[in-house]
Amino acid sequence: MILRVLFTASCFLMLCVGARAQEKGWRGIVPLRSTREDVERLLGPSSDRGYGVTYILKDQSVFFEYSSCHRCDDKENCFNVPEYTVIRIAVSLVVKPRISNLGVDKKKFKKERNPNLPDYWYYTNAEEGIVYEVLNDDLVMSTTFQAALEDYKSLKCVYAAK
Amino acid sequence: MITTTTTRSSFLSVEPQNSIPIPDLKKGIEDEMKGDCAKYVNQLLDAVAKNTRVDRSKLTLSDIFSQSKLNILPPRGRPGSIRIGGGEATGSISAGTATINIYQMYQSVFDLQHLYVLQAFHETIHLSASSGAYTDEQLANAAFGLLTPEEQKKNKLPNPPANASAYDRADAFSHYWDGLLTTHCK
Repeated sequence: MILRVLFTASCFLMLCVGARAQEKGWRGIVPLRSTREDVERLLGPSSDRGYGVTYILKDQSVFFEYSSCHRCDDKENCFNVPEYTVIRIAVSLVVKPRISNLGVDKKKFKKERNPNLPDYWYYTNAEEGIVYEVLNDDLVMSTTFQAALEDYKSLKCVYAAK
Repeated sequence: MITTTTTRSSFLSVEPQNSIPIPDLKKGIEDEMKGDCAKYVNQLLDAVAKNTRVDRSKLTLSDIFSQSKLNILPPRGRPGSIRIGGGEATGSISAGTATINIYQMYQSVFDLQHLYVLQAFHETIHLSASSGAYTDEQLANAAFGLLTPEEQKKNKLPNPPANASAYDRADAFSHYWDGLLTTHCK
């Protein structure tokens, strides 16, 4: 009986963790974890073989930046991941949502004004790698999913100073 | 209508003869929007409109610039240094609130007058959205998407960490698309 309870509890925990992992990134596509294959499995193949591919969906556009490096094989700005790993995802909805309607836990986000476009604000959750670009502190014009800070630190290639 | 505002404080903080005079920016933009530059800018604006789901304004860049309020602000940085003036864009062309701020540059041994044109051009591209503005990150993503895979390898997008300051983040993407722009627009 105890084993059965433990088994049920561990299954529940795994489901919770699994569900939580799926919440990360965009529709389960997680920067530095997911690949072009994962994207194409979800959204279909793209004829664009480059490293920046946009999918135009009915209600949104989704831009994927893939790694053009294979691990740290290039001299600058690489992550230690295989070529065509997702690096960054930028999502723009057709109907721009209000930041106040997204249920964002503002305690987890740093809010800063964009110095070049003073009407725009960044809401950044560095730990999870989420950046909202918000117009007039109201409308979310784009959402960027990038490397979570921990992944960034562990996977960013380090180069000798020039 | 172009409104050029040179604030009193600008002349209090710096001697006018020490700052580089502002050229005819509207003419400068019209001169830029020819040939390869015009073709590239139109491709860039089409791409950013598609990516962001915000249509581009139907106005020409020259008209967007003309309908924006232009503020010429005092130079930033210390006298004697060569300073790229920089600028900002606020408001929206559709709301009639589009504003371009350009910071004057100090006089130097180089002829930097043309940089004012490129700055005005850069800010006008930001304001080419039918509502709001296209951000540096959006323009950088669109510019990257226009490159061939080989060009993309040589011109990787910046990847600032998520804890980068707003200044570092905005500037990284601004310099990126600006660099590609100036390979087409001199």
